[in-house]
Amino acid sequence: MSKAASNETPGVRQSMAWIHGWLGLLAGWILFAMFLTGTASYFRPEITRWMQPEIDLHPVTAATAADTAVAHLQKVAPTAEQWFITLPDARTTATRIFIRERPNPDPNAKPAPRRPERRLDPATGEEVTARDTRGGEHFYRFHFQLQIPHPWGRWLAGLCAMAMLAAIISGVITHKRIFVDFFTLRWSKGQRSWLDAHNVSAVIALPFHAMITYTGLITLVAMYMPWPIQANYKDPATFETAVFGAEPDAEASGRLAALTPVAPLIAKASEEWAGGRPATMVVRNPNDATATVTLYQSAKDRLNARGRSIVFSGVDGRRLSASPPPDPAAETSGVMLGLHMGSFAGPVLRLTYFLLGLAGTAMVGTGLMLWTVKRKRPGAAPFFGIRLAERLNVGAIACLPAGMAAFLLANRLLPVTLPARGDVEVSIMFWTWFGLAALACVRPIRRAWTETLAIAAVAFLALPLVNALTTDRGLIRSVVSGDWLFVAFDLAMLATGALLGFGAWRAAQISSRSARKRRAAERPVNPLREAADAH
Amino acid sequence: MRIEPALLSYASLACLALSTHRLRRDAAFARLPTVATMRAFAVVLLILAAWRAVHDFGPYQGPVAFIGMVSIAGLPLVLLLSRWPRGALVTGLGASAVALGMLIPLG
Amino acid sequence: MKGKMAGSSIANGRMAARAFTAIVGGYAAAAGCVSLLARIAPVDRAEATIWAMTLSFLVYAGLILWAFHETRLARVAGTIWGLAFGSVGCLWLLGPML
Repeated sequence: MSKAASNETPGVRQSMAWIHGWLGLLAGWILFAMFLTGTASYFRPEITRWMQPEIDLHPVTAATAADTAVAHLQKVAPTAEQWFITLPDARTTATRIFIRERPNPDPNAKPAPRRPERRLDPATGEEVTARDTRGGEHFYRFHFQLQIPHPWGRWLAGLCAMAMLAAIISGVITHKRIFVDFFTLRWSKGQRSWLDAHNVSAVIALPFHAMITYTGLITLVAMYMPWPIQANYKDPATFETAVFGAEPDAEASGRLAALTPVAPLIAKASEEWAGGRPATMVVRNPNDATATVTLYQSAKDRLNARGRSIVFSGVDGRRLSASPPPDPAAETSGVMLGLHMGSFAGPVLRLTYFLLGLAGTAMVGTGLMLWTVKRKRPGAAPFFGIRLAERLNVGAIACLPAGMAAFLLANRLLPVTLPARGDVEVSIMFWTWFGLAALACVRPIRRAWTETLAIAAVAFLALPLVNALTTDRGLIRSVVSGDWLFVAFDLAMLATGALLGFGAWRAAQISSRSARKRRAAERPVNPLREAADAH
Repeated sequence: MRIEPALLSYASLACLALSTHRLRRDAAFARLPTVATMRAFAVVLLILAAWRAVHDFGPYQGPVAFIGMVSIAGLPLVLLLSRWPRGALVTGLGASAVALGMLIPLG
Repeated sequence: MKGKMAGSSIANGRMAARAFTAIVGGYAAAAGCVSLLARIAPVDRAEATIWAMTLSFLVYAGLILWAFHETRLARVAGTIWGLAFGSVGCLWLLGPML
């Protein structure tokens, strides 16, 4: 900081305002994307179900789903090293299985390719076939990996989250009269309106924003801050055993033994967990004498997302061990994880999370707008930094939603049998997002806002129409058959399109108002009139 | 639908808004209870909302639900007030009527 | 502070140094300090470890904000790098407990 400018130490409010502005700007574009995709991720399974309309499964009990999954796995991979079974629930509807093969003992053989995760009908154990798509998982993964290879994506997301945390703290410190302004929102007053909007969206949902930012860092704390483990334990595995319980990793003995039925194990686990439900089952060394079945409790039952686990023998169903009861520290971090993921939330609370996430997205977006609006001097040409920030704002705020809509449109419009279809959908999202942002750079800034927001609006409004034309689960059919997921989805797309359309309309209004002012200022003075006035 | 805590929070925040001088001036009602009365109403409604949240969502999720719902109620209120200051009184009364009505059979 | 000398390369260099100290040094200092506290705290190992990891981000954020609030760059650099090297040094000398 320049000492020559002044020798007085800046007040805390001043310095916090400066930090808040710069942290918010530099991390804001990525944070906007993280907030928007993260908010969408609260409906991750619903989005996946919408993107595979061919699948229409019905819920069954956990025991049935486990039985059918095991029967299927016995057929396709009886000698695998591990079976991972994720049991279905009311939202995900399909059982997910993953097979880890036994490594080839021949050291010269190439390692077998990783088998992808498969989805099964929980009632029959048959594999479900549907169009290949990433579904809602795409938004979820992007949210914390930013489509950048591991580990750089997560590091960048973590850095932005740290910036967000520091921005929240500095924002609170710098905000004078936080409660007086609580209800203030003035329209059409330029910079003051953006400031009001930023304050409102930030302060009214401040508990949520602070919570979601801090707990977001906690979700990846093992990657971001492993040093306390290193400081205390020579071998990190000791720490993991202490907190999560020992993983059974007996070598396969080679002696065959029939796998015990798993349904009774689920009942036993539920009883031990006082009604808690299992979410995941891992069978190690199936059909071997050292087989074990580990059940992991669902995160949906309570705030603490790190559910307990119980290990049973895979041969006779004896309870072998369980995860240790969490100490206060582990419970706290588990609850923090649960608060971020929101798995515990029922429909009402999930909608609350979603709306609060949108408020957070608005907070970041209005902050970005405020930064550029505040620094533009009327009449003077904006210098490069502001022009760059403006263009990045258009790209982040208007073009990302267009990209997300393109992702969903691609899901409906691409041929179902296209190879690597899921990857193509993802590419289309990024080409649309960045392509539109690049194209918008050649338009005057005000037109750019209007046009990009309008394109995004049209894309969202088109979704219900495209859905009705390309599938048999259009809006009218869904209303008639009581398919509320599809009805809600279509309505949400229409609402989003309407909101973006409103934004485009406002942008057009402001653009024409300032264009008129500019034209009035530039109008040449009538020389005869001037001469008359001079007398 | 367990939305009574959100409705009660909305009513509470509407009372709080009506206790601020700016809104009282903008809304320009002829006779309005005093600032102190409005604040008292706001507190009572907020406590009701908190109790209801714990009742509906349990002792652990209850506080989470309460805090989330107060925020969720505040956002549409501010949007509404920015265009229609009198809307605070109208919708606030409506929300509290609906919420209190929903509370009666359940206790 | 409002960038009166923004064009000057000295000011830019100082700002870069401050930012590097805040972001990299702050991380090292926060990680080192909470790890050291976890190492020497007289509580159960797993508990101390988890509390340290959980609270580390608050410490890091505080250091970042202080690094940009305090005007004297020498003081910022001295404190943060001092904490970083100091705590890591102590940890290296102590070695892991278990």
